[in-house]
Amino acid sequence: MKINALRVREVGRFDKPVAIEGFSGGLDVLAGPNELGKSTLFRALRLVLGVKHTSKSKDVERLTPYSGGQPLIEAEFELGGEAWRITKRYGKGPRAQLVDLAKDAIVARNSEADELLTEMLERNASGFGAHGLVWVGQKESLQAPQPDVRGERGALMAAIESEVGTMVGSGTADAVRARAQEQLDELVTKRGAKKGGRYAAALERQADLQKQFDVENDALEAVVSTQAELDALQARLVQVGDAPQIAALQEKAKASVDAREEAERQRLRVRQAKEAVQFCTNEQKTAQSALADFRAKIARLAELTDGVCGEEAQLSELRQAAEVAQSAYDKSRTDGERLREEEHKLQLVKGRLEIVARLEAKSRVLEGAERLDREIAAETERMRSDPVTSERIDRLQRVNNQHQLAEGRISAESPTVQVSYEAGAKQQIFLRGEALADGSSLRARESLVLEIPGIGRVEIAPGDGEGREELVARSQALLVERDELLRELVAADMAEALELFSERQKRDRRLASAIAELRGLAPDGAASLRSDVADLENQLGQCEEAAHGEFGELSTEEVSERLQFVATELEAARKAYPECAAALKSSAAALGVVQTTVSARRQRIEELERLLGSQDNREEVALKFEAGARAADEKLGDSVRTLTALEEVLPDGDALTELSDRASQAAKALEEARQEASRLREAMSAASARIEMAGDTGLGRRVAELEGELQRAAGDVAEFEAEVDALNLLLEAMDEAREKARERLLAPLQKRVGPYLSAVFGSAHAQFAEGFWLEGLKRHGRNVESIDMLSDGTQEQLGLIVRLAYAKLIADSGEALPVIFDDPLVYSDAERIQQMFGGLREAASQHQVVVLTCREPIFSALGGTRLELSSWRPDADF
Amino acid sequence: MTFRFIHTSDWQIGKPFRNFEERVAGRLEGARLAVIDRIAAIAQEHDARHVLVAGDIYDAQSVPLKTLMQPIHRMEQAHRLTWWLLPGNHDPARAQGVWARLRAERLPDNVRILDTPDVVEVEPSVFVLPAPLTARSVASDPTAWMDVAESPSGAMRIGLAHGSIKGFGSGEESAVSIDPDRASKARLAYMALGDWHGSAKINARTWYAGTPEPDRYPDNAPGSVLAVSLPDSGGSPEVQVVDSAAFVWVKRELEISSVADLAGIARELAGLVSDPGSLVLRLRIFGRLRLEDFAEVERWCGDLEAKVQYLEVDTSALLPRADDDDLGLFSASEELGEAARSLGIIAGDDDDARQPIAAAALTRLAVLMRREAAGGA
Repeated sequence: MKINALRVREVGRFDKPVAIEGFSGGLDVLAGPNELGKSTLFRALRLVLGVKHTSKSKDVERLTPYSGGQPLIEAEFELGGEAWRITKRYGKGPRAQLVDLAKDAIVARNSEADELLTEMLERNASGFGAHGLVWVGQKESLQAPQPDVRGERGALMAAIESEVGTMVGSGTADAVRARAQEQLDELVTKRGAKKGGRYAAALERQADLQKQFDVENDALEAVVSTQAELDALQARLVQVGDAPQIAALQEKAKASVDAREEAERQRLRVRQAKEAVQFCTNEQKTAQSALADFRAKIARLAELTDGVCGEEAQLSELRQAAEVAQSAYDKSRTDGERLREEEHKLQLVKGRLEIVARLEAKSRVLEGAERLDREIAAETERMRSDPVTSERIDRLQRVNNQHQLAEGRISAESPTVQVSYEAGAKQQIFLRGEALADGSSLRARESLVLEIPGIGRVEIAPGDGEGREELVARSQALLVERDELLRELVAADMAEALELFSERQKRDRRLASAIAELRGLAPDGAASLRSDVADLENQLGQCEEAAHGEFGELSTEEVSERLQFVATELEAARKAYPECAAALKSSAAALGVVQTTVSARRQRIEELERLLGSQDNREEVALKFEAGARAADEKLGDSVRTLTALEEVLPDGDALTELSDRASQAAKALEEARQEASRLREAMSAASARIEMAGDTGLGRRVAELEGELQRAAGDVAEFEAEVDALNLLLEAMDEAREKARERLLAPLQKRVGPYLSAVFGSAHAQFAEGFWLEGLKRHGRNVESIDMLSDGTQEQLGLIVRLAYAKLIADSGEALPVIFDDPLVYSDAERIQQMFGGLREAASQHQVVVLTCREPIFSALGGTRLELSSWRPDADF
Repeated sequence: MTFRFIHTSDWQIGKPFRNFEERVAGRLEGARLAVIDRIAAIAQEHDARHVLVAGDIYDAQSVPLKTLMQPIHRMEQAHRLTWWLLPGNHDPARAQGVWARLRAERLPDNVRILDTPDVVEVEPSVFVLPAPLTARSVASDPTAWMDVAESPSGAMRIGLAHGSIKGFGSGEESAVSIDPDRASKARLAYMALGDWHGSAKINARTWYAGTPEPDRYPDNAPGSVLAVSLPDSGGSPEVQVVDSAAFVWVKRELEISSVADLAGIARELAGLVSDPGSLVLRLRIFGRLRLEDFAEVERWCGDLEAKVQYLEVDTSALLPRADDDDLGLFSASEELGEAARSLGIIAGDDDDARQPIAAAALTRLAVLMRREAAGGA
């Protein structure tokens, strides 16, 4: 396809018909200043070839002049080797017509023209769907092209498939891949099993079961260990508790004990032999002693019999002296008793006399006290009815004083009238009929009427000062109260009242004096006195017996004299008595000593005579004692020999210790064996209990069940792992397949873009994404650079290069599309611009390239055919 | 007079079927208890009044008391029978072990525990010589004492032991060795053995009963008890193997190249049992298969699982062919075709560790492709 001419009227700024004629079909350049209308013409071309004439789209509105009008656009082009002209008027009264220029014939009008044009483009220019990619408006070249999914991508794909063949089933592959990815995503994320997913649940269940299994299995292993322990214990018990072994230990222990007991018995026999020797020694000594004692007793008897004769005479003398001492002692004691009795009686009489005296004195005091008591009672009673009390007197004096004060104030506030007559004047000033004396002074406490006969009356009124009436009333009330108090006191006036009060005070003092006197006589009261008197009378009654005795008639002085005499006598007797008692005791002691000696001697003589027997037997007895002593000597000799024989066979200390040690060791070994057996049985019991408990709780079964569950859980996890592995491998294989397909698809595009890239960037490789988007640039010695990261100028250059490659691809597949760039290479430097000009020129050798620019000087180097605006005359029908 | 009894062993009551889902595990455990009733019925059918259980009545020492008592209650119900229970390597006679715990409970009169190596007269002139185990493993032959054990002249002697005959058995054997000639050395009319889970004849007088109800995919012949008749003449025992199992455990490996190959195994299984519900089945299916057939295999397995008691299928070694024919599936999309080709190369490489992953990825790609072709459902 080639553009040959473009004409407009009432389009944008072009009110008048304007045309660009003379397109070369190769490199066509329209250069001009800003606002020449280049972009308007570019948009007009897109509109007339791509938009129906009836359209009211924004594109149409945009091209409608501000002053109104109906945009008319006409383009001449070559398509499929034929020349055509399309004319469209938009807005009100839209019209269109398509003219076959070779035949100079209108082939279609209006809608038919639109449809026929579209059909022609689709039929003859399959790549026209991609014209949006290669017709680049202002600023559009700044970004790399992004072919849309429908027309543009399809057009490119058609061009590619015309070269590499048809790619089938990519949609199915996409769906399958998405489904596989979905299945994988349900199981895992990049970090592992997906939370909440089936795989994660299986892993969690496996971990949970593993924990449970570990716990239970540890417990079971402990039980197994306990069972092994139990077996070992049982084996040991069989070994330790073996009956023959225990019996052997018992036999050994018994033999040791027997040997030790025999040695003990031998020791006992030696000890008994020693005791026998000791006994015989004692027997022998006893026999010798008995013989010696018998002989000593005979000698002693003779000695005692001689001594007792001399002591009999001494005994008689001592008895006489004792009788004398007894008599003196008896007399002394009788005298003393008599005197003490007399002294007692005298003391009783003396006591009675003292009570009588105290009774008389106490009675007198009681009499005085009772008198005072009566007086006090009478006075007290009288005073109780006496109205003259100190309270009333105090009240009376207080009221009287207040009354006088009130009266004083009334008087002070009353006017004073001083009467003064002239010398010789008659006293003729009268008050209530009485003449007032010269010099009289009157206080007008109330109205005074002074009468002066023949002259008149003078009335003097008291003042009416504030509070006067109240004061007068107060004074009167106090007067009434005073009079009432005087009546209570039975007094005519204050003087009498005070006199009565003075008398009352005197009586009070007398009463106090009587009370004090009574307290002096009876501090504890008259009743106490009466009690004392009664007590004394009682005491006197008890002494009445004394009043009737031998001394009852004596006076106090006589009694005292008699008592003194008796005391003297008694003192003498008391002094004599100890001497008599001592003499008696001494003589009795001397007599006792001699009597005891004689008695003891006689008793001993009787005893010895009884022991020795009759005189005739004593020799015979002596012979028997001698024979006994000899027999004891022989017995002692025998026991000594026996002891010597036993001691010769007695085990020594070491041997005995060894026997004891052996017995202890044997007993210990036996006891240890028994204790160990006991411990083993206890341990077995404990171990058995643990095993039994494990059995009762079904531990073994639980462990087995958990093991089974764990295995199944592990199987589940393994299945998920296999599934994940399979899905990963599947996706990996699909990725590889997709990459291969993509490379195959992009190969034609890479082939077209390569020369342009080389011209500008040297050795470089463009990276395209699916959909033929330019993703990045790989330049020699550099990593892949994302398109977004490149400079604006480079992006712009790459954008133009890719578009040229698209155009070349489309051109190579059939009907070429013209490339139109409106104001390109805005951001490029001079060197890149020159390099890009080379590319544009190269492209123009393949297909038409139309460049619109406002930079004439720079683009003058581009070359190509210069286009210019000219006028034209539209068809009369439009 | 002939002495008749049932010889059984290895009940392993309380053994959890941990690899099974709870529903199936419960049924399998229940079957282990229910087999006691069937043994009682078999005893009645064979006119036997005694059941000799040669060890491993319980699976472990640590089973709960309730589990301990469950079989006892069932044995008590069969009151015409006397049950003679021997401690084995799973339930050895230990202090406070299962037998001590049982003794602490009330045991019915018809249940006897033989936890000491003493001669026991079970009927007039019929003596059982038990060899109870006291540990999981013992160093010496626990039946050695039978050689010198005394019994009245002319008495019938029956050995009862748990352990492995040297050179016989599998890894499941206990670490207890028993002299294969014990029967003749100890003048036994019959040696009843336990531990081997399949029934097996060692010699004319020495037999393993096997477990009456299988608990694993067997390499031997489990699921039966032995009905034994011993003539008092001293003649050879008459031993009859009687099926007792409720469930049939089967494992098979199957190489297929097409769905049609599955028909053979289906026929075989139908011939094994009349009721598919009694099958406990483990299948390993491997080979190379067309991608489009994978879904059919999956459907087939689903159908089978619905019929049998339990199905465990391993198809990890079932790989797609990934040949041109297979990859033709992806002709609608060049991109997917390319991906399928690269996956197919890995899936076809036996030396590539990613082979199973690539196979799974490829099958998944086929599924996704079909789904997309069907409208993305």
